[in-house]
Amino acid sequence: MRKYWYVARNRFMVTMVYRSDFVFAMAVAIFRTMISAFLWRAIYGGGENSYMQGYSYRELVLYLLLTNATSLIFSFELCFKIGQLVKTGRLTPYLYRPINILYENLFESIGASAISMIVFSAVMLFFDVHGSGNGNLFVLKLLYFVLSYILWVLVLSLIGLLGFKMIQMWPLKPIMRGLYMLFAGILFPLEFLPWKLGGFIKYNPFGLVGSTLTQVVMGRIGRREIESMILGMLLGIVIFYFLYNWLLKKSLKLYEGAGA
Amino acid sequence: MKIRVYRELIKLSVREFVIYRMTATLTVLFGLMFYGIELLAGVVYYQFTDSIMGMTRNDYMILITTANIIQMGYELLFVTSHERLEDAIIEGELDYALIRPVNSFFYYAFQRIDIASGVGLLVSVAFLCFFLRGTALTGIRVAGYIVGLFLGIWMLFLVNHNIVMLSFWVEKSSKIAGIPEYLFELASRPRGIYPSILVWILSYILPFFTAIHCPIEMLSNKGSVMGVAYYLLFLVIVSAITYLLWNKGLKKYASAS
Repeated sequence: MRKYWYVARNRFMVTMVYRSDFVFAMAVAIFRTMISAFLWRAIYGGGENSYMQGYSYRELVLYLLLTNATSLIFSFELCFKIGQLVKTGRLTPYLYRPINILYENLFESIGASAISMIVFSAVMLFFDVHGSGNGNLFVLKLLYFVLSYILWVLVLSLIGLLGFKMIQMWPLKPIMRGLYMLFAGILFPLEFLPWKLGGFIKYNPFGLVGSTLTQVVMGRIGRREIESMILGMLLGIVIFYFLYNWLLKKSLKLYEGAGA
Repeated sequence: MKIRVYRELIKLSVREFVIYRMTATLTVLFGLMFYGIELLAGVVYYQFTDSIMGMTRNDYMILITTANIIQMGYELLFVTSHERLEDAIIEGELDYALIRPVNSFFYYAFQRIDIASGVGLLVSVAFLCFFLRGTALTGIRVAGYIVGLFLGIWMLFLVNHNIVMLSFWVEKSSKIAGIPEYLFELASRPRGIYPSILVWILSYILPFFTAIHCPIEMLSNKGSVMGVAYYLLFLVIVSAITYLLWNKGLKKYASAS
């Protein structure tokens, strides 16, 4: 356990050194939220009391702020790690060290986003105390947050396994960004999608950490649904965990150990 | 720079495109994906209202499509050149261009074209034709629109070129390299939704709004002569400044990384 603690701590230190990157990412997220907020203000047309799909203008802006904030916690960094290791041949040391790449991934990303995670949890607590209605769900919400985080790390690690096959991984970055924009509900809540699409894609991994997490924080999702989603995510984590180990075993056969 | 040289450079670009097929296909794909997301977002916005600041859904679609055409046009003609230029300045590899018997400014501006973006450009032009169906158009208005597109592309080139040239003076300028993209995103929404001071700044000091809205105004014949004249004057002056800065930057350039 101790070795993973070091992994997280080291990654945290790196984030501290490159803190300007984080500040810049935050500025971009705020800028993007601002554009959306101006556009929605025009759509609401100054009607302070008008609701759209159950959102007042203020709630929608809050939604946009929180969803954009999740994009700071859930980064895509992990997708590219294995690809880089395979490409340079540096994966070899991992194979004879007593270290599990998956656990290392998890603790590395915790180290990278530690501060935003703590801030986000504090926001969650604040909403639970001051928010509307069904209070006292904080522990449940926190559990949701932790599980969705683990699920996210697993999904990214699975995508990262593509690195064994693909030489160039960088085109994945804009694709992931686009998918996150659409399926995590960065521009609008997923229920706003036409043709009842929202109901189907609400439970995709991007939605779970973006749109749905935000709605959990805002108290728009009841105890019942949170509980069933937690069960669903636990199941997903177990399935992805075994899938990952199985695919890793298969992919390692492709690994030549020579740098490209 | 002679046309003959540019033709050679385009030939090289085509060859590179064919060699890196996989990367090119993915570039095409994600270009289309972002355009698709914009269109879908437009559909979502207009579920709740019929007009955003006087713009109908069709007007809005024309606006984001025009913005996409300008963006893709810039990427087709200049983006690879800018990526290479930034590396060349920092790595100290500009010498190879400087010793050639060509004008180094134009040589680096027109280094390569990115053919993958051309595909995205064609797709958005096809969508534009779809959104324009049923609109009464005259030849002169369409010509005005096309000129407007090129002015917008040139405007994006100038802004990005100046930011890349910052590498002559500042070591780490890559962080602000994304700023024009964000401003362009901001400007590709209806003007009326923003506070007037922001619109004023982005129409006169850094005319991102003009770059996108000017072609559309040409098409609907709504633009003011003074506005267009100012825009043209702005582009001419900034082009001259950019050229001067290039020569200043070259003096600053040390042939080492």
